[in-house]
Amino acid sequence: MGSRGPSVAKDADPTLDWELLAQAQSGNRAALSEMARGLLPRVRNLVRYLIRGDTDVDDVAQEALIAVLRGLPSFEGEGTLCSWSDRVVARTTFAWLRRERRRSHVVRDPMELESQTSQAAMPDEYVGRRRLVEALDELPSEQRYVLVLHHVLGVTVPEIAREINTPAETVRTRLRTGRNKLRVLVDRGQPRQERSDDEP
Amino acid sequence: MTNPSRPKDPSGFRHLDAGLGPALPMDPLAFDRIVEQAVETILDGSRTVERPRRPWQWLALAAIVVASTAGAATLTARHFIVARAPALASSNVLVPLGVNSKILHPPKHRSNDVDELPATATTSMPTSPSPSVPLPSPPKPAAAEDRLAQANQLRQAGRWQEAEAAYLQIATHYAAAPEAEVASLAAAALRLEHLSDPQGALRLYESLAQGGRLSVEARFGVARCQRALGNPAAEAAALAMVVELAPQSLQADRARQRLSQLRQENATSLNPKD
Repeated sequence: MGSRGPSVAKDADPTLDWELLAQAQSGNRAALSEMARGLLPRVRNLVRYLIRGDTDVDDVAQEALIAVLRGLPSFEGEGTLCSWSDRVVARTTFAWLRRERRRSHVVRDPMELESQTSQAAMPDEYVGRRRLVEALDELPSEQRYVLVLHHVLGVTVPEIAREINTPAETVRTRLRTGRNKLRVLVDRGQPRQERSDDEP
Repeated sequence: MTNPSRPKDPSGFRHLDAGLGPALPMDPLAFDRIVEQAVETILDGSRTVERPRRPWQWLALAAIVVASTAGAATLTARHFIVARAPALASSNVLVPLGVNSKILHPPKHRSNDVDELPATATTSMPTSPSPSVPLPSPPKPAAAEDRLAQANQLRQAGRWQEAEAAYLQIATHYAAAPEAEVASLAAAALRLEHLSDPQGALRLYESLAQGGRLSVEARFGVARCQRALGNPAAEAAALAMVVELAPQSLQADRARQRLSQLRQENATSLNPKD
């Protein structure tokens, strides 16, 4: 399967169902469906980290999921399937962001309002993640993107610089500036309140 | 590729997984739909590959595509590679160098380090696939009826604020549809019953009470709001209107009962026992 042999590849991701992967790579419908179902929650979470608001998450996630499934035959088992998939998702999302850059302002969709009641019923981890992305929503896209690549996916600065064709120093600046802003927003605790006056 | 010691971030970045968040929880039906659509897109592409390919067909196809895209200033034949993997994409599809092409056909000189992120977004190549590539079509805009069903599911799940926002969106975007009035009524009820906003509910009910086929329900809603706001006189007036407009309706029966209660309460307050 991999250029270094299946045993080495399997060591890289011992939790992966290699038989299922092989079937999916050969176009087996049931296997593709099962892989898609397994990947989609993580895909959606990463997309939400990368883009502002909840409105477009599922559209972008679908596009990204298709890119992942389409690229499965090229996965050779180096690194885990999830980390490989994350890179595909990040690239697809970045391409989407570039297309959406024409929109100078993102009109806040009222469907993005999340019930405080429903949040209160959710686990702390979920609430924490929601607050984090709500704070990220306040940042410019370029800062947000590098922050997520670096701190969520663990991509190094040189790799980010190569990915987005930006000098490494610029990436570092965006990370530093983004982190400082994020810290203020998170410490403030409720970034939504700042925008409540602007909402209709 | 991955940084062995993930940078510690004081802002509290959580690790990525398939667990809850940060994406909103998803409706199971919508989840299934996305999966199904994605799989169909992949399989639709692979099914068209089964025709036998001959070299002259590739050249002819390339010539046709080049000729048809000659008017596009940024697109040239050298920007495309032909997808040869039968399990992946249509043999009749030219894949532009971009995100997917790097995944499908890594160039021979590419390092074996799959963690290297090719600068696909950096080239002058169009990031949008060629029109000849079967694009993963975005979900079609839902009909008002579908949107209403989604909003109802949110309400049933107890996600009041989201449901209210969903109802209001229907009322705005599908103003001419019959679902708009139903949605507005539902939003008003949520405001009154779950969002502690009787004033906001009153505004919605009053706007609906002026006409339309649900005006009786809306007037009854006005009465409930006035009761919540502690305005018995206004409540009684609204109830009386319900009885006048639809004397045989269920709302009228309820209105009469409430009017009777209000009269008793009024009589008690005028004649205190002490």
